[in-house]
Amino acid sequence: MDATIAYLLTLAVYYFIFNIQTWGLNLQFGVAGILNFAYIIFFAVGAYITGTFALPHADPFSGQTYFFGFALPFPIPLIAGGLVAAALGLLVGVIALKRLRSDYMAIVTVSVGAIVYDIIGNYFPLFNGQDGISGVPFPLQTRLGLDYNTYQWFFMGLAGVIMLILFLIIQRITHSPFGRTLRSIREDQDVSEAFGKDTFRYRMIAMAIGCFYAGVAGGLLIEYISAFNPSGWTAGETFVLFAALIIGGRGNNWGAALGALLVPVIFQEATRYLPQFPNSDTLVPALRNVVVGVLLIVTLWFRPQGLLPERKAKFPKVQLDAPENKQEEADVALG
Amino acid sequence: MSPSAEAQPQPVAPATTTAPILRVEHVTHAFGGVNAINDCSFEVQTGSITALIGPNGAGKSTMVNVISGFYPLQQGQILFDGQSVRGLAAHSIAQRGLIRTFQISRDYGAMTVLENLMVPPKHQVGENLFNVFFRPWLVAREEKELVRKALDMLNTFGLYEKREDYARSLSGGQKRLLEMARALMADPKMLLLDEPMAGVNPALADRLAQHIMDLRGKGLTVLMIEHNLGIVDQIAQDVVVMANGTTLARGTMVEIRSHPEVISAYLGGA
Ligand SMILES: Nc1ncnc2c1ncn2[C@@H]1O[C@H](COP(=O)(O)OP(=O)(O)OP(=O)(O)O)[C@@H](O)[C@H]1O
Ligand SMILES: [Mg+2]
Repeated sequence: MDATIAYLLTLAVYYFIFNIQTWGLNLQFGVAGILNFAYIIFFAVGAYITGTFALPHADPFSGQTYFFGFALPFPIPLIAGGLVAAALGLLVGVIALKRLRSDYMAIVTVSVGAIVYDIIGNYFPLFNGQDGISGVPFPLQTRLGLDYNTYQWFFMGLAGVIMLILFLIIQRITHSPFGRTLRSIREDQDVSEAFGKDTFRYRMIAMAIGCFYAGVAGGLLIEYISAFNPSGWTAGETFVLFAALIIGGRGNNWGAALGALLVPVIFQEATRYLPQFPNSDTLVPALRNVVVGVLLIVTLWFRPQGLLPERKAKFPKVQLDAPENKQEEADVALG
Repeated sequence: MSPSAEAQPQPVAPATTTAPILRVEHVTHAFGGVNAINDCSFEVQTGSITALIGPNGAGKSTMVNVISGFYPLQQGQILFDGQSVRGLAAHSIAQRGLIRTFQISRDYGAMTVLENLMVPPKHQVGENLFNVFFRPWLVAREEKELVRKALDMLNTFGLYEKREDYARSLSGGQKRLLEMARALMADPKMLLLDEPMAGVNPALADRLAQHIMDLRGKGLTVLMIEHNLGIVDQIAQDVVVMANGTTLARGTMVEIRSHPEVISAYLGGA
């Protein structure tokens, strides 16, 4: 396969994965106002669960140690990855979302993130510690008997279909009365509580769904690159996703998709082509974060709602029969 | 139509029924070591408009927060509709039909005026994700009903033209109207209004007063905190005076005005 095409294919799969991540984050942060600074943890858990559910039992001579090793066929490991991430999201939610204050929530999630990162990175029996796990089988590859190049196209299609399904679902949720109640909680949790909304329950559901998305995204990544280790999900990755969402437009799933394209895909990839500086291989990754940071500040300064802001809600047309407005078609639809 | 003309002094009718919908019994509430409410008791008759008055810092807003479950009930007893609110979360109390507003108006700023009104209706089928995905027709039908109800409400409160505007873009007075319209969308049995007319001009205050009187006609009970005694005189059948966290006096405005302790503690000879 042509190297450029192979590269673009890889970028496309990464983009699909980033989309799924930013949509989950959008439901939590953009729609429900939940500050989950441990978001990348759920991505990682999804990846590890998917990987170890797909891998066979850990062979003592392979040099890897990990739990599970169920050798389950696609898509079970992927779904399991999403579900376990969602369950962990609920667990964190019980601690982080019980109180009303968002600073409390932020502190709890940052701490949980650090704890989970340290446990996975240092406790080798779980997911092989810092070395991470590798050799995860490609989904359906042996079943389909495709050669490497054709399989790349197949995987892109598979990831694309999964992304599309997840997009339709998240759009439906965002624009439903459920999504409206989440938005109201973001705007003023006390007021929604005063209208009889069990705001804790709503936020827990948003937490679970968002973490499910993160988990599926992580699962897709490990199924694509067949390996995963802690260098792939440092706390900085959460920052990149928040930046993508804020720049693209929080509250708007299209904005999230635009942000995912601009920030992690285009800007971060572009920095790969910066000239290499001798004796400092950490400079470019650092510069990458600087670029994202500057982009974020510029957006917040000039277009705080993001490139594609949340749109006004649309409602069905209703004919109002009140005398004052008899002549008027109560056309509430908005652009 | 000039609502202010209609809102001119009318004879104050006595409370229609005698059964209290809300009983506050010996409630004490402390912040740290300081009692903001101290052994306070009063009742609100079903179908009445009751005013809760008292000087700044008397504990009125704290009382609203305790009644509505925003602060846990520490001491004493509160019965709404015959049932204790002890241990209930704020949203559970609201689901029983006791809807409160806040002293400072709190709109859902980044949502439109119409969408603000679409939030409060209770137990919406579309708030359940199972229905959203598997019974979308039920959700669509309910949405249509709610939009109609919300537009009617906006029409009543003179906000129809603003329906597509962001709530944050409304003026202070319009936000007060929005708060009341929005609270009514929850179909309350009883409204707990914390200074619903704070900061509005006299004409709008009259209009809000008229709205509150209309509510009473529809069988709602209202407990409102209000500093303007003229308005209290005009719309409230019962008055509860709080000072230093406790009930100083209860009765009609006429009775309250002649109460010597009230005069010295609050009215200051007004
Ligand atoms: N969250 C709080 N923490 C500590 N003290 C409080 C708190 N809320 C109120 N207080 C105190 O409790 C007392 C009663 O306050 P509250 O807000 O209930 O008064 P109010 O009657 O509503 O006054 P106003 O007419 O000015 O609104 C005040 O002394 C106030 O300082
Ligand atoms: Mg007050």
